[in-house]
Amino acid sequence: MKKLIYSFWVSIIILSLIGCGKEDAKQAAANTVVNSGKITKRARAGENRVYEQFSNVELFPDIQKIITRGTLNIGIYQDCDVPFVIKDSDGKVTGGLDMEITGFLADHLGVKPVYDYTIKSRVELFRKLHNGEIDIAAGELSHTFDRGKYVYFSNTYAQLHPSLIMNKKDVVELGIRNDPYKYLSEKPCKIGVQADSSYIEYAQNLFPKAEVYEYPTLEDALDALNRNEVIALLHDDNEIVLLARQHAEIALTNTVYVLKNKKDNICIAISPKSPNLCDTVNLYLESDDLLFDVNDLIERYPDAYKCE
Amino acid sequence: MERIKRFLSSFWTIIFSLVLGVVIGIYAPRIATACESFGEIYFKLIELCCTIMLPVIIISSIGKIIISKGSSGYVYKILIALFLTFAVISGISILSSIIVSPITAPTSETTKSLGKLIINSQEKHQDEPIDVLKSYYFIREIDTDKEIQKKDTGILKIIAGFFPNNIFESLANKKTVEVLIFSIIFGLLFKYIPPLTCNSLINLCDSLFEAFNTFLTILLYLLPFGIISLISHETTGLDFNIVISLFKLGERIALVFLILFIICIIIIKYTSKKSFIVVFKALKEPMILSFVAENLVAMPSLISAMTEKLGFNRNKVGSAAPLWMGMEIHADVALFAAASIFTLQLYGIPIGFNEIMMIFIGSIAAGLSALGAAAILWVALIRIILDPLDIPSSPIILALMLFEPFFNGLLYLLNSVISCAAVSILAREPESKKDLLPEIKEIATP
Repeated sequence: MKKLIYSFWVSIIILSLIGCGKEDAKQAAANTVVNSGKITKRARAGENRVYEQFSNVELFPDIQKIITRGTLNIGIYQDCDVPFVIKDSDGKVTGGLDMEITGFLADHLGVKPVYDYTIKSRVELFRKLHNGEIDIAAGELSHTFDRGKYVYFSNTYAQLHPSLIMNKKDVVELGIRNDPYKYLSEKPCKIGVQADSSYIEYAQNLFPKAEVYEYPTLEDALDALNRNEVIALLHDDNEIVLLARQHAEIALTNTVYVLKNKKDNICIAISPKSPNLCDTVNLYLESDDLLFDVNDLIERYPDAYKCE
Repeated sequence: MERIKRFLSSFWTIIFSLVLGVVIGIYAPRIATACESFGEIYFKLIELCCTIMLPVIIISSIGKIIISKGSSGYVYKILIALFLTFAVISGISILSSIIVSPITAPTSETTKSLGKLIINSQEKHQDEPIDVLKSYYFIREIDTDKEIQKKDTGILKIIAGFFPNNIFESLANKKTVEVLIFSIIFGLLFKYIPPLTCNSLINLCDSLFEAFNTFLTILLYLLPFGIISLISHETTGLDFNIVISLFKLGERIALVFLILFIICIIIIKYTSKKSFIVVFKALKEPMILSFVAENLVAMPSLISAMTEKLGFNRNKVGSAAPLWMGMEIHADVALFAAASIFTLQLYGIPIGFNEIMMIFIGSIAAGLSALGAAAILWVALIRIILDPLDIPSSPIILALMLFEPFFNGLLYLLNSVISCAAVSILAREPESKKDLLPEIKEIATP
């Protein structure tokens, strides 16, 4: 009799254990997605999981380091503009394209994103990235030849174009209303750019005979243009559209020339200490087919472009 | 029914519609969006009438004068005098607009306000997601690898562009100046068409004009609703301060009108050899009638003032005054010229010889085109001047539409004074051509 009672309790315990196992299996199935014909397991943020079938395989050391740490350290340039980083009236970051992309990326890796918003200049941002203090950097970062020599860059996720703002009066007087590029690239002239931006390099490459003047902000550069200190202001089309909406008089007094065959590729910068992270970032960008232009950005973040 | 018609066509109803349109546009944009389709249909129908009426009225008027026996010499003289009046008005307006520009120059606030108006209006007219780089007037895309052909903007090239090579294409593409030139040429060619055919053609033109004019008259009773839908749509999302900041344009036009008025009074004084007080007293009644009613109402009073009080030749005044007063477009030429100079300064475009010539010719062409345009829509003809200069006209059109009801009386008044000044010069002609005049009077009186 005792044996019967013992067997009964043992079977109850075994059955409950099997039932629990089924619940776990159901939960596991819920977390499983079909991807390219292979059953893989998508990790959740903070769980530090990797593909199930490779769980016993040694990972790339840089990836392993991030997963072991449980965080993806992301550097964001403090003065990055909308819609890449959107802030509320108190200056608190509330969203933006780069926040979305980096957030999803951390999610894919199964780690928590940790942002450093205190980086005051792009120079400091790339220094930190180069030293490995941060794993990736974002904030409307252009992939330039110079930067590509010391950090990795992902594939392009936003494609902008270098654009010139010129005074309407100047282009009419100089007779270059239809083609100011030829004049600027062939004649010695003064071109204003935002300091610490990739456009210093763009200006030097596009206009080899020009003197490049750096200004702390685009507004300062616009003031310099209006004071005739410089003949043109060079930046990307997204920033120029934003500038025109903040300074509506541009629509009347200036002409904007978008150099449509020149590209400003906006990418995620990756620390040279994490070379294998680049593939992961690219895989994510490619799988979600991310490639925005100005119109896509305006459509996605209309509030960021409201005319003031 | 008559009371409703009077109410719908009264000056105050139009003013009320304008104000209501602005209020709806600013404070109830949803209603503005709902009204948009009605406004679109309404103004398309008005445009349809004007497209037909403009060529037929010119062909018929010139044709009638041309086929009148012995009148062709006087016709050419009157045509030359008319053109000279336009040219002088346009020239004086351009000059005075430049002279008064230091005190009525667009402020930075005006520039910013109009900039907002441009950005908002260019976005508002896009039904689908916009291609910002293509839709904004001030943004140009250039390919640095391709050699860009320099656009020839010489004045002769621009004038050559006004001549039509296919009238049907001109009509289809709403090229008003081309239609105008074709109509004048066609009207002059009546001289070489057999009289019977001429009469048939003139009758056809008159009948078409009458039919469309009747339709237009009916449509114009609905003008208050059309204005509400148009203005409310145009002002959706507009800051009221923008409208206030555009007052500089109003100041400019008023000052140019004042200069023209003074010049005309001086001409009348000189030709009549009377004192300023006598001239003012004589013209008081026609000026008041023009201001409160319209030129045609003031015409008999003007003829009587010029002949009885200022002592001009009755026959000459009787033949020329109706033509000048009936056209009612001289002040429009002045307004177009003044507003165009203001627009160029607003956009920071240097005013060179080419620009001045374009405004000179364009304002005359726009003024002549206003002959066939209805109601306040004629202000949109400023496009004829601004489009070849590659300047967006929509903000200025909107501003002019807002001001037009307030300027309407002044426009009529200025028209009557300009007519009086021009006729006073013509009425000093030698008596030798007196024999022709009764016949011409019969033809020219509307």
